[in-house]
Amino acid sequence: MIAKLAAQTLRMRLRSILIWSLSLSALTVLMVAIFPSIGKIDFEQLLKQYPKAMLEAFGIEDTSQYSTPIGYINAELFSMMIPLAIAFLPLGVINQCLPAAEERHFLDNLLCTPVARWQVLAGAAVAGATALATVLFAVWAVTLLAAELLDVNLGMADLARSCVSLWPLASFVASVGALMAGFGPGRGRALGAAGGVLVLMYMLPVIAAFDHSFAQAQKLSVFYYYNDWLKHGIDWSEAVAVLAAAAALTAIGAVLFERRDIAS
Amino acid sequence: MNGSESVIETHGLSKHFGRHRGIEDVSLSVRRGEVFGLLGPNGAGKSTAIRLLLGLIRPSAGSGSVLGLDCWRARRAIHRRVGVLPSDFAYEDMLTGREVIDFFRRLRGLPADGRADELAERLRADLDRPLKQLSRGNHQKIGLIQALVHDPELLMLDEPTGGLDPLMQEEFLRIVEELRDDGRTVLLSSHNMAEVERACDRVAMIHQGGLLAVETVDSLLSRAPRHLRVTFDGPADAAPFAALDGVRDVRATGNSVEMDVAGDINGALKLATARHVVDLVCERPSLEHAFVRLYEDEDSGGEL
Ligand SMILES: Nc1ncnc2c1ncn2[C@@H]1O[C@H](COP(=O)(O)OP(=O)(O)OP(=O)(O)O)[C@@H](O)[C@H]1O
Ligand SMILES: [Mg+2]
Repeated sequence: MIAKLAAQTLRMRLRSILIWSLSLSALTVLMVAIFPSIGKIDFEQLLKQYPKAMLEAFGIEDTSQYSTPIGYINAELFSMMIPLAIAFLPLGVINQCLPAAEERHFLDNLLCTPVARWQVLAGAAVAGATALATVLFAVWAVTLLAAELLDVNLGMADLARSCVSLWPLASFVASVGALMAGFGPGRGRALGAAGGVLVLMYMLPVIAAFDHSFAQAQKLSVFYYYNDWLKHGIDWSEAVAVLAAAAALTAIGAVLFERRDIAS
Repeated sequence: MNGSESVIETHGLSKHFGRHRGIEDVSLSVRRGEVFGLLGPNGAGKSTAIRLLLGLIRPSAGSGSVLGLDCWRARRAIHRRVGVLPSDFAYEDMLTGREVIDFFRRLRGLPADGRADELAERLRADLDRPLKQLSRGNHQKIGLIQALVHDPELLMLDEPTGGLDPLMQEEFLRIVEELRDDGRTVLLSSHNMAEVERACDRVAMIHQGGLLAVETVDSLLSRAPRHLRVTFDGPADAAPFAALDGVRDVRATGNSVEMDVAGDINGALKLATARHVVDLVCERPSLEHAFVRLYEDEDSGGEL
């Protein structure tokens, strides 16, 4: 049942998956294309002029990262722009399937077929996670192809690591949307709450870099782990923990959804 | 199958939305094989009652059962066996009617058959255009088809003829008659008296969330006032008629006098035939008349 629901959702979102893939790939390909000229600039000299705390805040601990293509793409795109953007893909899918569908009276039909409410929510979560994986794979493949054509030495495994790191991160943000869907209808509510959590989580490690009293608090942020994965490789136990937290939030959302009134 | 077996039963079913009243203390039972109408003005609580029975909202008090199953706790088992048209039928509007119907059928685990096309032909529905391109009536037809297509034993239809043109309303009523002949049970809501009068065996009248009456259409009509118009060979006088028991709304115009007579019409007839009657028309009351009377009585705090 969950598979049927997820498959239908993915069919309906095919176009948006394509658009996401194309626009994110365009960004990464652009970075690959301009790297050869950027690579000639002596960033180490340039960046040494800035205070260390500020560089840290922007995830630039090691100024030498700009000298490799993957380091450059990670710093320019994967450390902020892409994660902040792509979290809205699975979040949008969940939002469309639940709060927005409820607002538009779609759920009165769907929930009068023999599907359980929790299955509708699980189907949306699966569709969101699948759409996300598809876009990440497309970005990875297109970028590699572009690097090959432009003769830029972009490691297949390094780029894969950056893409794969995004999956637990964005899934977690989407699960906040799933939790909110458990509370009630309204497109704005789930998007707003999850978007807020996303920005907050992004800011925590940034603030912690300036103010060390946040050193412990930043561990509540998925970005704390994500930043680390980008630099030092994915810590699988951390990744599993993030996904488990996402599953837990989704499950709580499902329980709430089972017990509440469907809005008319 | 036991003819008096009840398919839907509610006991003191109530729903409040915060401070707002949805329905209040509704107890009724719908028997297997009957066409049962929920009748009431806007905001009466018809949709609320249907949504409670489908487990979409949770009762504030009381309970309801459908096919012997608790309507909140066993809603999924109920959904397997019913066909539903919600009050504002809507689904992903870039899908065509056929895609929506097929999707719901897949969720029911049923293979595709020709029934959707058959119904589409009868209702003149276009299954191959996206929902967003359909007019309100044509959109409603898709909703009806998806409710009927799996041939369920119980149908719950919230304002099924909303938006349909008279020809299609007629076709829909014929479908309902066929369903009844097949032993299916139909619960439908409506404000359209003529439709309920034609289609339903029994009606529940809902007003301001409460149940006013549950009656067979026949008994309701027999209790309802008749409209009497008498034409004399000379000027008519309203006063003697107005003085009679059970006579209301007397109006004299020229040689004619018109009135509504509740109950026994003999008094009015005798009074009329005391003079020379040129013409006499006694109209069978419409359910609408019966209905409006009930509401008036309710609002003035009178007895039913
Ligand atoms: N989700 C809700 N929140 C608050 N009030 C509600 C909600 N749903 C229904 N109501 C209220 O409950 C009452 C009954 O509404 P309902 O929709 O059941 O009426 P109805 O008989 O179906 O009317 P109509 O003929 O217009 O469809 C109305 O006063 C309505 O405002
Ligand atoms: Mg209604």
